[in-house]
Amino acid sequence: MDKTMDEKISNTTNNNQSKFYMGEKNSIMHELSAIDLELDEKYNEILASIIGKDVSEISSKDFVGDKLEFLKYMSKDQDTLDRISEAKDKFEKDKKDITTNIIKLIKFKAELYKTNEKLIAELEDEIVSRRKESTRLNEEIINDEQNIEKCTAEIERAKKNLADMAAEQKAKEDDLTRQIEAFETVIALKDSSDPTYESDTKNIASLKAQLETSRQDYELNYDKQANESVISINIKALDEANKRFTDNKYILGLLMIDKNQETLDKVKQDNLALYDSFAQDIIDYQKAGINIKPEDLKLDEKTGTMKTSPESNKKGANSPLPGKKDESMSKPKEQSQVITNQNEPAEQVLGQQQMDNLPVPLTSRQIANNLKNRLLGCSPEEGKSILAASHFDDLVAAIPSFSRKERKALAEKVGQLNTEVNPQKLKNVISALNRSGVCSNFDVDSIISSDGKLKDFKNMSPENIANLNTFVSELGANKDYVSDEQLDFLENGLINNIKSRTLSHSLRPKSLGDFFKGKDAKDRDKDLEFGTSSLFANLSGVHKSETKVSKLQNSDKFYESLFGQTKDVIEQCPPKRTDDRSQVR
Amino acid sequence: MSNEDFDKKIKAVNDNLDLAKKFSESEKRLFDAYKFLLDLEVTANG
Repeated sequence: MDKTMDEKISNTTNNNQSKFYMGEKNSIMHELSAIDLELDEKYNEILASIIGKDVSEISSKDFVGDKLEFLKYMSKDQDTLDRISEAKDKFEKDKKDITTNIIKLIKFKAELYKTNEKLIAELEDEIVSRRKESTRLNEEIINDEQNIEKCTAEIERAKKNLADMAAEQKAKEDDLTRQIEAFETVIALKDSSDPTYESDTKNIASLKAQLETSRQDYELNYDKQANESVISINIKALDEANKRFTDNKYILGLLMIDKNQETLDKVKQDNLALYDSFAQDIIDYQKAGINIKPEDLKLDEKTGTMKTSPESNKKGANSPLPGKKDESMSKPKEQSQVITNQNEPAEQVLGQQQMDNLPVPLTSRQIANNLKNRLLGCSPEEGKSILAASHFDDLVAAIPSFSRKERKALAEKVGQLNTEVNPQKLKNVISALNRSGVCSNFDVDSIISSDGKLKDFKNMSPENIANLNTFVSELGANKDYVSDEQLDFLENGLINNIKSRTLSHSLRPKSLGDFFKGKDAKDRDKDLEFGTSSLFANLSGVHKSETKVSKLQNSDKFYESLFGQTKDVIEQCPPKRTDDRSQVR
Repeated sequence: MSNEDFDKKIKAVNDNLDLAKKFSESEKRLFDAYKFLLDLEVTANG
């Protein structure tokens, strides 16, 4: 094979990126067609030499397509075999060139794949940033909607004030005018010598002066100006909010997140399919003696191997390809490395000594104790991160084993950590996330009551708790799409709040029975004697001063709050037989 | 990034994929040729 084909592929490979970006794909394709044509000619040349004819006599593509069958047929003849032998030697160099070019082409495809990976990563970043922007815009839109509503209400209120003031002024002026007209009617009938004439004239002048002063006062009235100012300011704010609202809606439409995400998913899938094709091709080439190694492709620059993709799993490309030693298995593992190969005994992977040095995993109880101790001695800031710890459930589960003193201390600490959440802001953030599609349709009203306050989580229905859990896990899964500010707010405002409330609630015994469970009579008496008043105060919600045992024993409020029944009703009920006793009998 | 730039990059990825597909076709033809020469060798060596 001459150098032309080699050069063409070489040039194609080197120039592809720049050519591609300059829209010269057609030129590359043209070069490839030329290579293909040359290959056809080469086949014909080989076949012509085998059957002892001129190449011009062998031009049928069908004939070339059946080349292997043809070769099989011809090989029965000794003369042909001799010619095949000659052809083999003659085209030995071509075989090498073909190998080189196959390797070049597959490397070039790998370059295209990597270029696509970079482009896809850029596009993914763009989608993430657009999602964040969409969330921010949605939040602003909700705020503007509220501002528009608020401004409109303010304008209406101020307009009504002005109308009331105008009506009042008109009534006042009408009254003065009526008085003036009455005097004028009377005075018209009087003679100037009438003794009341002068005083009536003075009254008219005085009333007219009052009328004028009233008009001037009305114009200068501070309240009137204030209301006018309120209208003017709110109209301006309303205009701004309206403009921003319209602009944001427009920008939101331009983001086209769903459409772009769909397109991106499609090309991502196609690029993964390209990646997958490498695995099988390389196996085929290696079987045929073409020495191409996965690491030559540098598809994963960190390991030098082909990386894992869900699609490549199907073809088994995760396992080391032929000729590639799996270095991850032979390399000594560091102590902190997690053992992930479930099929192989850990000792075989790590060695006994390394096994001995591995840290022993903590039990849930130890983790809970660590969290409890850290929580008791931490600052409010650290407390928030402890509440956010992944082993929070272990802490809650271990509460029954904590002493009364520890529970009390923990309850106080958790009380200090409780952050007040602005429910309206929470509502806005969640609504914005819903609108952006980050969290699917979480019902905000399930955590915020109609009066705009955060609901007490411990009284939430199971459906709402499940709903909230879904929201929190979706939020966790979509962290990239939520702005840092929103995430901080939700973590501090919602998640930590839920956790601290859960913890506080768990710290309170549900009933006296639970509280005294496992304690002997002596301990119970001791608790009753020393801890009764504050404990009962907490449990029953009555004031501490009312929780002396003697008072409590006769307090219906106490019995009602603890057992849901008055003392009389409880005393009338016969003692309940337990299952254990019935079994014994 | 404008929508136009976004679309341009998507087009770039798709063009690269098309190009890779064409190269795969050429690669396949080269591989067929290679296998043919291998058969030639096997036949010649009996």
